[in-house]
Amino acid sequence: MYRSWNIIISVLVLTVLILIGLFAGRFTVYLTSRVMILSIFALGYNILFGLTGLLSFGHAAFYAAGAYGLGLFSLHVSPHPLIGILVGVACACVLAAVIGFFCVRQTEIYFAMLTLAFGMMIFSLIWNMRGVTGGDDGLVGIMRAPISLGVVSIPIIKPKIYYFLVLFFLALSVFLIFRIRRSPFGLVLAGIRENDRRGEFAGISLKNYCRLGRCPGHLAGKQYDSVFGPLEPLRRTGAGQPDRRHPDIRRPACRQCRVYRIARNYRTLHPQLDALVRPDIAGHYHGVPGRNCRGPVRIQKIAGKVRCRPVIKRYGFNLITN
Amino acid sequence: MDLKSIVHVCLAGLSTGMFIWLVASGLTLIFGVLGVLGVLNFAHGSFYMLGAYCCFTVLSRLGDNFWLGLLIGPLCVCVVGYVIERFFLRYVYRIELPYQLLLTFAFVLLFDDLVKIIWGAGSLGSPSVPGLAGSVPILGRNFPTYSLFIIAVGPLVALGLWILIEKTWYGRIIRAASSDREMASAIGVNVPVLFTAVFMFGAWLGAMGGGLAVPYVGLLTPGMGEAIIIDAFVVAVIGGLGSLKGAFLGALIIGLLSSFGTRFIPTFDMFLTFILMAAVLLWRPQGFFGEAV
Repeated sequence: MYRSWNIIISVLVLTVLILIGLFAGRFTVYLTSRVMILSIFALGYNILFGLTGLLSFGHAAFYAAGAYGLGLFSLHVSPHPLIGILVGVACACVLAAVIGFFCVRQTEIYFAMLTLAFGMMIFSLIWNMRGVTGGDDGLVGIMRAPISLGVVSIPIIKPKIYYFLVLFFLALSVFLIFRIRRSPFGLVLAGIRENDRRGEFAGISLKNYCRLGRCPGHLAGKQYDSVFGPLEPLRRTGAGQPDRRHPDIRRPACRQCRVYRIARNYRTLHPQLDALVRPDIAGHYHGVPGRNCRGPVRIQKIAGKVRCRPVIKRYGFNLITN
Repeated sequence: MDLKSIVHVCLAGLSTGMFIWLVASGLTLIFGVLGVLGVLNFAHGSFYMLGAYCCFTVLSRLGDNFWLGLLIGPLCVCVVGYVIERFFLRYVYRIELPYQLLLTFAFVLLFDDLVKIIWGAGSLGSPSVPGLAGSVPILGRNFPTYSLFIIAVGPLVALGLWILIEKTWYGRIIRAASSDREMASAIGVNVPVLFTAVFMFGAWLGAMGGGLAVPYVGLLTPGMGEAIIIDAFVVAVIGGLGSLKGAFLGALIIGLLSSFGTRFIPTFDMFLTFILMAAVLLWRPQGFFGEAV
């Protein structure tokens, strides 16, 4: 049932897009091309953030790598668009491999900050190396040469033909990503999001997969420049920010130790607590972490002695001194 | 390259650094205090931008008095900070960090367009400050008086923050709440109110930086917040997220690095900054002064 709905919706969307390409006016065609190009970018971003839960700030760097890869290739080597697209994607993949190599060494907020740093590095290089990239003037003079396939030649300079080229790549990307999500690889990526530790226990090399996760979506950058002429280095890092659940970080397995630690640091705040949580008591309850001390505890005075009891309540920390 | 040039490049670096510090201080304060892992507030750059625009409006409406603008402008931004914390951020503390960041990022986009609607998309030229306009000769060359003023203000703000956090009763409560939210509330601290207050104070600091930027950068543009927030992030990361001491030193390092970079290798001046940031993150992710997680 679910599967057949998927097929029906895909066919409907595709039909609408083809009808737009065939019958819509100039502006609608232009706008829809742009929407589709950004969709390809978003699909790639979704592989990383949506599937693995790693929030990246530097994703636009891959977009830039694809676009500048194609731009420079067509200016200096050959204006053939298909080869240019392949070169652009290859550039983005190489960049992703390099950046990924470093970024996966950190997790959480530091992953996001690292991707931000690398993204800004690429931006500053493109911005400042005027001789190669044109700096803030952009890279001008990129031709939309016809795609020659031996006998036929497709003039993508016409907006409608170009529209169908973009549509073709969008459909290709959607299909690829659909396959990826259903493959064992996609399941591994989802596993990273849900619980990375457990994934590692299951024998998955986390680092390699994180790195790979960045490579596939990046068909996007390639088409942008052909639509908009001069490249805009100003479009830089896209959406928001880092991180993932890390159940154990910053949370001492032994709650009792934490009570003691905090109380010692801020002893003067509350004299009663100071008297209550003494080092000897904390030591007394310093059990095997994770076995007898996990979860919230309640400090109680029972028959003149201070006792810690585990409590069921989730977020409360009850301090009862009676 | 003589001594004079080096002194001037140093001074320029110091003023840039102090200027970034004014913005990064509020960012670091908010990150350090709110929650166990903190809120990395993307919208801080927007506070800076709004501060600059509010100051500009106040001072142009109320007879070109810069100091009055500096007094009233950031207070308006405080109100914005209150709304964000009380009605939005408060509900996302418990969910995962990416969603907090996406929420604050949404505010960046929102404020950028709001500024365009209210003040227009063009740049606004800013007035000079009476008494601090012009330049003073240092070693035979002129140096802007206002930059010297910024160099003086930076350490003053740092001193004030240090006294507030380390020496006062309020500071002690803030430190306690940042160390353990539940514990603080158990011993009678009204944590939600405290967080709102800290967030408003952080917003005020950011807006203050914006207000002081009005004569410094010369032009007000709707994108000015995003430019500064990247620098502030770099500084906060290098010094250690959540550490005010680290942010101060990080700002000095970044200021000097960028000014020497601009002087000697202009093509790679920004690149150097981000190389340093990446190196710090890889080698010592908690920064120079942050606590190891």
